[in-house]
Amino acid sequence: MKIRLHYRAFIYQAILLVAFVLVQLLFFSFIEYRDWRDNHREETLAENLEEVVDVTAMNLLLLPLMLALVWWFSRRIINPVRRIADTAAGIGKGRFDERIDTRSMPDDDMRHLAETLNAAFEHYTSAVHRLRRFSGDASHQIRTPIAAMRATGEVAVSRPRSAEDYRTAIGDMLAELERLSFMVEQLLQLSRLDAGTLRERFRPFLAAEVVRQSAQVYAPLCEDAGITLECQVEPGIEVPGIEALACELLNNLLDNAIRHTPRGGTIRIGVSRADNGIRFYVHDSGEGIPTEFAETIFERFSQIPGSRHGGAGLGLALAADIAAVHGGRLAVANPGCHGARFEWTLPLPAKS
Amino acid sequence: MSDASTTARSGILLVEDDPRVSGSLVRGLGEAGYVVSVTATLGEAHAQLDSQTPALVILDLGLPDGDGVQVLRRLRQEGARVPVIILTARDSVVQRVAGLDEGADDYLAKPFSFPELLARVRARLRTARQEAEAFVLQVGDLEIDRLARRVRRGGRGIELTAREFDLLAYLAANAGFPVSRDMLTRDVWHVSSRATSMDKIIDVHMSHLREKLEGGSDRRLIHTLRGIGFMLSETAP
Repeated sequence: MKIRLHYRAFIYQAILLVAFVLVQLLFFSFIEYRDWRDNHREETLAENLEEVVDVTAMNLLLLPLMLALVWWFSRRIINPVRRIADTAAGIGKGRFDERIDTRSMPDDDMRHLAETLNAAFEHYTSAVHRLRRFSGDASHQIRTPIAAMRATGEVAVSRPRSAEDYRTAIGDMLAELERLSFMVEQLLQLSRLDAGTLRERFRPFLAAEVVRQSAQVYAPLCEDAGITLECQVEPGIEVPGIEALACELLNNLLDNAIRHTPRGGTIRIGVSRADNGIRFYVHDSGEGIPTEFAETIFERFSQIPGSRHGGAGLGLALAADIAAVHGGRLAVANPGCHGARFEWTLPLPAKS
Repeated sequence: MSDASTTARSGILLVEDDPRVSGSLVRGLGEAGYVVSVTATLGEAHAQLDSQTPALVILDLGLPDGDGVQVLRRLRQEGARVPVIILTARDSVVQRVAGLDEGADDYLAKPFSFPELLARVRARLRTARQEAEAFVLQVGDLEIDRLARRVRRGGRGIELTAREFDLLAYLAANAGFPVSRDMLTRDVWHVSSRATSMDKIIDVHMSHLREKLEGGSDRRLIHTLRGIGFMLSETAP
């Protein structure tokens, strides 16, 4: 049987109240009885107990009033719980914008609970919105190469052509397929990072080594693009993690930096100790990241409007996830400035 | 293609249940000079293995009547040293290690490129025949000394960076066959993740390499196969 919480609170308090009245009655009676036995044997017991009867009568008269007060009090205490339950039920039914109204609540534990829950709802709602946007963006991005493949194929078979033309058409379709396949790999990699089972594979690696490797791989590309690549490493720092992933993070940052740095520009990559941790950085001399995009560029499929530099917008999301898997954080260190500086900061366990 | 003609007699057993995949593979491998028989189930594979031992097995793990690993296990229990290449859509490290633990020689995650499968098949059949890999590779008038890391074309020495040399040596080891970007990413750049694009880096190296090899000469050696990758060959494909 379901009992409403405020009924229960009322019943408990009512029982307490009645018990209190009974105990009081017994206690008074006992004292009056002893007094009569020891000092007032000349009077009758009934006369001596008159006061007790009066007090009891008064108590009984007051009892309904007290009970009414208790009723009102229980409702008042329990009301916020009902409001919380109603809001949660609403969110459960898909009304994601509902929040618990805390304005009329006194500043107590219940209000604290409501505010904590509101914050959790907020978090949940934004996660749901992100997920919806993500699947929308993903299908859009997957559609583009599919549309290209389809058009190429349809045009190719629409009339007889030379073998060379067919070969070109199939080659074009394969190139689109490659793009699609690459995107699927990136999405798979993201879900692998989300799974959070990578910590078991952590091994210490040398930070300087990863930076050097990454710089070495991208140096010819920089040279070709007329960009100076400067590499500055502090030797001897060991990081617990997955070396291949750290490399992937830096590669993605370098790839991004090269795409946004004009000919004649400079990209600086490096690693150094920072306050109780370590800091990897990639600093380009491109147009920089506007302040309002400093957070959102790490979201999956995000693009800064008006700056198409190729890529589906998954590289930085991957990099940020890799940073997080290692217990660190990837951020734009200088939003709004010319020349974006990405920093991966990572707390290191103190050397014993 | 001397490689293909010497392996024409070696039969390949392909255990793959998806007819679209097996159809293309049979055709592609057939055109490369291999005789391929296909089975789509575990039962058929076992029956086939009862009658004859192939020179190489290409094994899909997800079969309708069970895990393809059973075929591999059986081969190894019988002591057969047939090279086995596993194909699978599962690509987690654990799966990979498990497959190799069972005695697989190689492992390809779907979607793989056909040139890659072909290269693996050639490599496996070569090792199976205990053929020593030559130190000096020759493609037309190009000579690549893999021990001394020296390259000459028409008697003229060519200076290459370390990575350019590795790239050329890899192309030369697969001369006459296409090499995909995935293969280069993994085998020349040693980047295992397919989620990082190395395309532009590969292109830059390729153009440098071409300049150094073909500069002044009008005879192309490195051919770009759109949508497939590259091929080192004296003659255009």
